[in-house]
Formats: sequence, C-alpha cells, structure tokens
Amino acid sequence: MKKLIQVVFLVVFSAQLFAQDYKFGKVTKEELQETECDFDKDASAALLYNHRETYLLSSVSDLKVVTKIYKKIKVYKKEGFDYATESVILYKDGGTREQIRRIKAVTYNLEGEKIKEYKLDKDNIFETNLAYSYYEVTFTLPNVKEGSVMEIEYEVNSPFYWIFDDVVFQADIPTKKYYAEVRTFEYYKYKRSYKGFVSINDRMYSKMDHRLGANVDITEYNGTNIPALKKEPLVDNMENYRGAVVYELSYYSSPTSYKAYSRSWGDVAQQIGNKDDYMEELDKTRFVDDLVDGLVKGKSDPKMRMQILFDYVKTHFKWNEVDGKYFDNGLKKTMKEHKGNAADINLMLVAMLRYAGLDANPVVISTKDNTIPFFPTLERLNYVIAHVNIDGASFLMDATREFSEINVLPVDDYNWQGIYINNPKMKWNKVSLNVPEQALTSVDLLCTLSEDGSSEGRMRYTYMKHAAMNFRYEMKDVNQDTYLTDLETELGGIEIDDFKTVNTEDTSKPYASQSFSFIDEEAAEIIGDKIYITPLMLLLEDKNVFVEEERKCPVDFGYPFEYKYNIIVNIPEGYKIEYSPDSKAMNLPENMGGIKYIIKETSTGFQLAYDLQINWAMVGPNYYVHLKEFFNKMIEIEAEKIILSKA
Amino acid sequence: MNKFKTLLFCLGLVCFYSYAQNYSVANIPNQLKENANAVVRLNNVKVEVEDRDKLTIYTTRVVTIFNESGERFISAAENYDASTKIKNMQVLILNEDGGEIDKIKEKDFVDRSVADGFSLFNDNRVKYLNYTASRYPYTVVFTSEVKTSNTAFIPSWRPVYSYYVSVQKDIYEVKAPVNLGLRVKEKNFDAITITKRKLGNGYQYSVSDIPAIKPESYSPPLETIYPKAMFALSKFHLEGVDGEVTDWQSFGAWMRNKLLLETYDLPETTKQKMQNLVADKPTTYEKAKAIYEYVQQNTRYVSIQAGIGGWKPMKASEVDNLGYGDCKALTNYTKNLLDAVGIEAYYTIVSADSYTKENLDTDFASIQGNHIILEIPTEDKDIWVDCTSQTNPFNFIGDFTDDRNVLVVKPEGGEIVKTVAYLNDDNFQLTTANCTLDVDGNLNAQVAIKTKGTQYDSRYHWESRSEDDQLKHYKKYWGNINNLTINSIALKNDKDKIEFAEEVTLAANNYISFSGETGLFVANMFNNTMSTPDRYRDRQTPLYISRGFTDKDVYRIKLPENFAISTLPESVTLTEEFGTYSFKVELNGSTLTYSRELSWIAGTYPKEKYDDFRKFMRSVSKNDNAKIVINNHQ
Repeated sequence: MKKLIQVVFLVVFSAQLFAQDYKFGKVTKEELQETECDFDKDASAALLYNHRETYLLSSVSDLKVVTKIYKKIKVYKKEGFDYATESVILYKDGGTREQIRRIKAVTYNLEGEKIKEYKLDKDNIFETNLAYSYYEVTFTLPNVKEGSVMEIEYEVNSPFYWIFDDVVFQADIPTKKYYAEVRTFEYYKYKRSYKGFVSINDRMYSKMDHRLGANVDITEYNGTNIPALKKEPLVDNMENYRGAVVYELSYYSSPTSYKAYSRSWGDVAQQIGNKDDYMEELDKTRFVDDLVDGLVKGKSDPKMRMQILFDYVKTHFKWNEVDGKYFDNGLKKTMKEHKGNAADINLMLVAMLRYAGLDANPVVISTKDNTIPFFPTLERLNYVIAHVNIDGASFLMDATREFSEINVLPVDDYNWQGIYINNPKMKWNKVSLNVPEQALTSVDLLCTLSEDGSSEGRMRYTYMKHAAMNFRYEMKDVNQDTYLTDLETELGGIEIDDFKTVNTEDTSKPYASQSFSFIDEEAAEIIGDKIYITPLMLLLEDKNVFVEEERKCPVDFGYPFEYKYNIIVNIPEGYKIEYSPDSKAMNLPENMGGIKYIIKETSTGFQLAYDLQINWAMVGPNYYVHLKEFFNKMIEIEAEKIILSKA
Repeated sequence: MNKFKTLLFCLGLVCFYSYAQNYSVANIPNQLKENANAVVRLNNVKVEVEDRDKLTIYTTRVVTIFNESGERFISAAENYDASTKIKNMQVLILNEDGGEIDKIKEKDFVDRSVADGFSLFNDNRVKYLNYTASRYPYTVVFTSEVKTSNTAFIPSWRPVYSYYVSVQKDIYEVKAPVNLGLRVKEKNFDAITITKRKLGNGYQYSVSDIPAIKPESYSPPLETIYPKAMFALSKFHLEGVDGEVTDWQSFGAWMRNKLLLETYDLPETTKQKMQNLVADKPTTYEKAKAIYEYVQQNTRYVSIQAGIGGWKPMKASEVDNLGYGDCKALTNYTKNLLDAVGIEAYYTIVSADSYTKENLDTDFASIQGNHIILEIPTEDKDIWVDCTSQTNPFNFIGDFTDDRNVLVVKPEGGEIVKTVAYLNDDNFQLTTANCTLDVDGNLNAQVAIKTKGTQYDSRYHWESRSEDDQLKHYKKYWGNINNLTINSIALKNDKDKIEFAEEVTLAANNYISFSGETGLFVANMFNNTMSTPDRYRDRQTPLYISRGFTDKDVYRIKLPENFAISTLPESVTLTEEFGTYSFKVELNGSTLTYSRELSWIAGTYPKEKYDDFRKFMRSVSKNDNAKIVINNHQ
C-alpha cells in the first residue's frame, strides 16, 4: 500500500456544494402499481434510479474519498427479493478503516389506496468480520413483497483516497435512470475508458468551489433505460462486458509543476521494473547458484537448460493459489519453503534462468479472472510469468501449474497482452501473448461389427498442447475404476477393458494418450433385415452447445483446437453396404475453422477420416450465427447412417 | 539437576522418535491406501461433561494427505461463539517419514465468520487451517481443546463419514456425571467391527483399519448404512436455559415452554385482520389455506443464525413488523396467525434433505434436525406446509421434507409423526404431442406436459422464470432434437390441484435423417432416455430408489406425404421388481401413435439387483431411441 501513496491530493472539496437531483422519500403510486419493466418484461426487479456521487473531503488531519449511493429499486417478482439485501464489503487494518455511514432504507408498499412505509431499523444492520482484515455490513429491507419499491441510501468514507472505484452503470437488472457525478481536483487529470456494449451520456465541466478557492472538474453521467447484463456461456469474464467507466490518474499539472503518472504501457513496464522485486531482488541469486549449477551441469544447449529449470521449478515449488506480481515470500523464503504466490514461483524461475545464462525476463499480465486492463495501469495487473528469448524466438512459461508446458500456459493467462520487463537491457514494452497453439485430440478407432448390432474393438486417444493439459488434469489423482465407470457411461454404456495411459504426468513429452478395448452391445440398429450404423460410431456428437439465437459477448474457446478421427469398421460377413453418405467438407468464414468428412468403402467394411478444426481461440459475436449454423450442420452430417443389407 | 535435564532430553528424543515411527507413510497398511485421497491415522475425540453447563472436547486428529482432493479431510478447524471458547489449538506438519517440518499456532489460523453464503447474520465464527503443502504426501497433526457452556449438543460419532478416505484408528470417548443422565443410541453397528467399552460414567468406541469406500450411484445414503452413535444428556444447558428431557414428549414440552411460548405475542390488530381474512371461508382447510397464502404474500425467507444456538425463533410480533424471518420465525408466525382464528397447528422439527430422507430417531430424544415445518390437522387429513416457501401450494412440502419421522411440538409435549410421502405414481408426468413431419424432414409439434408430486416440484418454478431462461430450459430439456426452435410457451401452475401444465409449440429442421430415399427418425421425441446408469465392476451397496415415478407419453405423428413405413417396431414390455417399461407404435393411415410408459418403484433392493437395473435402463434407452424407417414410395 505504501508504494501507492505517491499520489497526493492537495486541495479538497466539501459535500455541501452538491446539488442532489433526487429526493429521498418521493415514491409515487404509479411506481408502486407498475407490474413489469417496460423495456425488459422478464426482469424480476429494476433500478428505477441509481445515483452516485464521488468527491474528496478534507479535515485537519486527513484526506478521504466519499462515495454516496442512492438506489430506488422496484421489485416485480419474488426472484427480485435478492435486491432487498444490500451487502458492502469494507477494509480495516488497525486504525485505518473504511466506514459506511448514514444508512437509510425504506420499503414502500401500496396497501389499498394508501402508500405504506417501512423503515429499516438500525438494530437490523449487521456487521460481520470476514477474514484478512475485511468486514461486511449487511442489511435487508423490511416487508418486501412483489410490487414493493425500496429506497437505499448510504455513504462510504475511505482513507484510501487514491483508489478510485469504476463508474458502473450497468447492473444485473435493468436500470431506468442512472446518474453519477465524479468530482476531481482540477490539477489532477484522469483518463477514462468505457467498456461494455451500452453507452451513456457524459458531460464535463469545471467549476469554482468558492469556499475552497479551487476549481474542480466535474463529470456527470446520465443514462436511461440501460438493459440488464445477461450471462452467456463460454465467456472469458462477464465483467469485461459490463457497462462501466474506468478511471485512471494520468498526470498532475499545476501552474508551477507537472508530474506524469502512467501514460503508456512502456511507462508502466518501467514503473514495475523500478520496483525492488524486479531490480535488485531478481539478481540476488546466491542461494540458487549451487542448485542451478548442479542442474544444468554439462548441458550447454540453452533450450535444454530452459526445459530443465522450468521442470525443476514446476515440480519442486507449490503454488499457494494466490496471484501476484510482487513477491509474497521473496526468493530466499520461497527457496526454503518450496512454495509461494505466482510472483515467488515465476520470478524464482526467471532468476534461475538468468543465472544459467539465458535471456530471461518477467512478463506482467492480467489474468482472465482479473478482467482486461483497459488502459496502461499498474493496479489492474495481477500476475507475472516468465519469458525467455533464444535466438529471437520467444518462450513463455508459468511454473505455478504442474501440467503447464513451455508455451502452453494455463488458459487463464492468455488474456490480452503482457508487459515485458527487461531491466538488464533496459527494455520495457508491451508484448503479445500470442494465441495458444492449436490443441489436438486425435482418435484411432478400429472395430468389428457383428450381425446382432454389437461391436468390439480398440480405441486410442492422443492429446497434444492444451488437450494434453486437460487430459492430464482429468487423470490426476483419479481413481481408475471411477474414471472408467464415468467413461463407459459417457461413451453410451460400453464396456471397457485393457485400459492404458501414456505420459499422464510427464509434461516433457509432447503428447499424452489413453487406449482401451471395448465392447459396445448397441453399436448399430437392426430394423427389418437391415443394419443401420452411424459411421462415427462411439464418437458421435449429438448436441450443439450453441442453442441461443443471438449472442452479445465473444465466444471464448480458450485455445484453437482440432479433433481428428480415423475410424475403421469391419462389417459382418455376408453383408454389403447398400447406402453410404457422401464425403463432405464445410468451412467457416475467414479460415475460422472447418470440417472434413471423408468416407470410403474398404474390402472389409468402411473407413472414415474426420477432421474438425477451430482455428480461433475467441470468436466475436458477429460470427456467432455462422458458428451456430456450422455446429448444427455438423450434427446433421454426423447423424447420417450407413445402411447394410444382406449380400 | 544435570541428570534430570539429560533425562528430559532423552525422553524428548524418544517421544520424537516414536512419533516419527508412528506417522511415517510407510506405516500405512496397503489396504488403507486403496481408493484413498487421505488416511485418518488417528481421530481421537474425548468429550468430558464436568457439569450441566460445562463441557470440554479434546481432539487429536492425524491425517495423511495423498493429494489435493485429500485436503478436505484435514478438518483442522473449530467453531466458536459467545458461549464456546477455543482453549488451545495447534497443528504440526509432518513429512513423508513422519518428521516435523512445520508448526502452526492458534494465532496463525484463519479466523472468520461462518459465512454460509446466504445468512444475513450469523454469530458463529470459525478458526481454520489454511496451509499449502510443498509436496505430497504429508501428515497434519491437529490438537485442540474447546470448552462450552452448551451441553445440549454432544458430538455424534461417525467413523465412516465420507468417501475416498480410510481410517487407521478412531477412538471416541464421552463421560458425564451420572446424575445428568447420559443416554446413547447406536445405529448400524453391525456394518463394521467396533470395539465398545462401557465406562463407569460414559462410553468408549473404537475402530481400526477401515478401508476407503467409493460412491456408487443409486445407493442408499452413507448414514443409513454405516455406524453412528448419538448422545444426549437428560439434564442439559443451552445458552442460559436449563433443559430436562428424557423422551420426545418431555423434549417437546421443554421446547414449547422455554423457547416458543414467549414468542407467541401476535398484536391484536393482526389477529383481527386474520379473523376478517377467513370470515367467509367455510372449512378449516379453506381458512388455513388463506392464512398460508397470506404468509407467502407478506413475508420472505431470510436466514438469521442467532439466538439460543440457532434454536429460538424471533417473536411473532417481530416477523409481523419486519415481514421476514428464517424457518423458525416464519413457521412460528404462521402458527400464531392460525391460532388467532382458532386453528390448531404444530411447530415441527425435521431433518430436511431431498436425498437422505433422514428420520428423527423414534426412541432417542435429543436436539436433532435442521429445519422447521408446520403441521395443521384439518377435517379429514393432516396438512403439512413449509412456511419458508414463497411458491409451494398449500398442502405440498415437496421432497425436501416428505416421507420421514419428524417431531411435532404439541401443547401436551412432543410426538414423533411421519410426514406425507410422495411415492411412485404420486410423482406423475404425462406428455402428449401432436406432430407433423414434412417431406423435407422438418418437424412441427405441439407438446403438452402435465406433472404431479415431486415431478411437479421440480418443474413449477419455470413459470416465474424469465422467457429467456424458459427458452434455454426447453432447448436443454429437448437437447436430443437438433435445430430446435421454440415458437411458444404457455405454463400454468394449478395450485389447487397441485398440477403443473406446460404447453409448447416447436419446430426442428431436418429432424428426419435421410440416407438416400430412406428416412430415419426417433419416435420418442420428447422424453428420451439418453444415458444409462454407471457400470460397476464390483457393486458394493444395495440399489436404492428414493421415491420412484411414472411417466406416460402419447405422441401422434403425421408422416410426410408420399412416405410409407416398411417395418413397424415391435411392441416391448419389460417388468422388473423395481420398475416397468412398455412402448408400442400403431399406424392408422398416415398417422403413427407412439405410446410409452416408464415407472420406477421406490425401495431398497439387494445389490445383485443393480446389474438388472442397469440392463433394464439400457434396454429402456435402446428402445427410446428406436428408429422409424420410412421410404419414399413415389
């Protein structure tokens, strides 16, 4: 925290100056009689009005930021009762604490022709201490029914005046009217970025605060009929798409002085680069010297050295599941305890790689669950990974996860871009994290069909890149019987025997695989004197994951992928192929992906070569219809039957 | 003096040495490693009741963790509150050889509120270990001492309490002054070998070398198979209130007199309001229904875990004023409203859970259960209601509290009664459809579904969901139909008949899959069993069907013009002890009629039956997916 208090706000304002354009207690009969939200008939509740004011306030001894909240909420359905409970999480550490004050909350119900009010009693405001210096203040409104209107008002005073909350104007329920006013001192200039799909009007102006003798910059935000943010499946992080304005301090400029804060990603990179953790600490490697010397002894190939050290850190250090761009333990303690946060582990890796003579540097990122950093800023980055340059080729590594590989990072790491911090060469810049390489699942299936519709055969799955990572996680610590029981059920109730796996733990091998023999009692259907078979056999996909008609957020697959099947089927003696579907190919626009379905007769039956490729990790909502249609067609193609009849 | 020091040092060494020997991973018998993510090396719980309001629990728990999934068995945690104090707690971490590598003191435990995620307020707190191991396996040695003035809850003993964990040694001991009347109830003690000792003033139980078990689907809940010993004092203390209970009758009387009576303070105006509300209702049933619906419209459920160990409800007047409460408060409030119009109703304690259907033990009175419902005797039957439900019809409690023994608190004392059961045919679904297939293979259909019982319970909430959610629901429910478009949805919840009616019109392009001139389609479009039960190489537990159901389906399918059927599928009838299935397809001109019926019959069947059950369901799945073959005869 200390490092952050470089920003000092000199002049301050008073709350009394602000004109409130709402009046607590003005609830109309029309609002109470409303039965649905006019622009979202499904909504269980709506924010009739959401109002926020943020300003700075000074007293003799301290400076604080005040945020006043006012909400008028209408409940249409019982599902909307959740919005009758307000919960605010605050921080306290010794004498420094964020405080909530002036809580006022009233429920209004229409009883007959009369509007009845029910006030929140102070006794029903609860304060609970959470772990790690946080506490929570919770209250729920009395007598809430379908149709109720509620008003909630409170203010939060925070001594952490340099922390600026985003202006979030889109909620999980529709908002009829939104107003926010953010006042900042004129010498401090902020960058603002908009995110999400919905827009909002803003107006900026400056005004003299006469009593303080200083100007303030005011930004007002006005929105009407803001739709609710609706969740969609396969999204990197819904919060990236929620309508909000993100604030960041840009520079300080007074008639007598000027100071820039972060302006470009290069600046941000340099700023992190100047932190102790990235300056001296990273090169204090005395206590890894002997260890590294021993590990890379006799190995001169830089790639081999990199692989050895990456594997060593990955297997010998346990991640405590805490993100971080700064040390928690520091290198020395991490080395002693063999565990730490993301920075402890990945910076340890950088330190060891450097000692071993590699051009290794940290790359600071924001993981997917931490949202996208909307502009250059230190605070929104939460994680660090390792980068090595060998003869111009880039290698990225994250040693926190046991099944991650060089250039195959946990999916959560592939978010937007990274900040490359090369202190030795004084290079600080933004780098692309690249799209992960295509993951591959290939399956060889060989089986023999009997006259009674059953089949016997063998299958082998081979996984590479992220497919291997997923498979290894699935096999980790699993009880084999339980795994096989689930696999048998998943493959339609077959019986599995002679099960084998390869490389389920060894990530230095490029692939992992499983193979088994199987009996499928219901491989084909016999109707009359004919046998009907789906050429994909056990690998038939019969459900499309994309059922929604439209989509607002991009589809995040995590990584590009390919499924490649080679299926060879021997048909029963005395039967011939009466009908076989044609071979087909189908492509998505812009080389986004495609499918090949090539079927041919063999002397003993038929062979199917099937290849499905999705080449993009993320597909924009504008392509959603193509994607949906593609998968629908795929299911139709896969459903086609081969018909066998007696020869 | 010097000698003494040396002696101490030696002793320490000996201690440490034996420690290392004891908890080395190498000392775990192989049979305990199988299927185990963790091994409980020792679980030693000693409960000492010193007085009516003084109880101390000493715990030593040593667990070896093999992998990440095993970490949930560490259980190095203690709850505390105003009347329960942690006297000491500590953890030692041992490496694979049993050597100490870390020590964690009480102050380094995480301390936080027992936030259950939905309670508005909860006055219980917990201290727990949050430890990241640098490698597996490792062993956690947890010791604690907790003192409380509450003697109403004496921890039960359940040595086999979870899957994927084995137990090397578990010793439980409870002692209490004889005059407090320590009682015990043992269940399923035949399941494993238990060493039992009757102490002068208590009991001791121990087990050793219990291998880990794996979960199996359709198996009875663990607690109904494995041993459990429950304990209670006849004379106890709970948050400043003394209690004396020897049987359910006296338990009920205590609860009513000490916890409930003083909450019966409904304001006169509300009493009057209730009397007006039911003035024109002719029967007790009608009156009680009106009041239950009043509660549903005027209150909501908010969990508040406070007050007499979470056992004393808020006052009726407070609920009246705030319009919310937890299960105790809302039930008690409804009871008071019914009292106001002269209808007798009883506060009822239940162990709520859809799957386990746990009974309160008929002949062992102690504080049990986790939920409160209300019993209302009426003219011809006893009515059960759950006052926390905003949506349940009157006289319907669903599978959360049905079919089990509960404690009904009557003015004359407590009584164990069984709640209404929803079994077999009660849980009914009828799906009817009118379908048309065109020459391009496209499907158009009007589908109607009616549900009752638990099937009603799992469906009726869709009525109040958003249109968007409803659309997604039907697309998922009929995931077997590709290219599905839902054109209209009409849902009707008949709360008087307790029946839910769904009417959906839909279309699907290319429902018929053509192979040249031959078209194939599945006749069972709307209730298709896609998966079959898991196969076990060596099934251990009986087959358990908790409630059973009956599904009926009748679809009329108009075939595309110029197409004819070459072979009609033959009718199938399967009859087993645990269920029945039948389907048939009839052709009338160009219209097919597909009829199907599937029933499961509630019960516990020998484990050998599981294979038959799996075969039965495989056969159901196969027949549900039987294709109709049509040919173009032009």
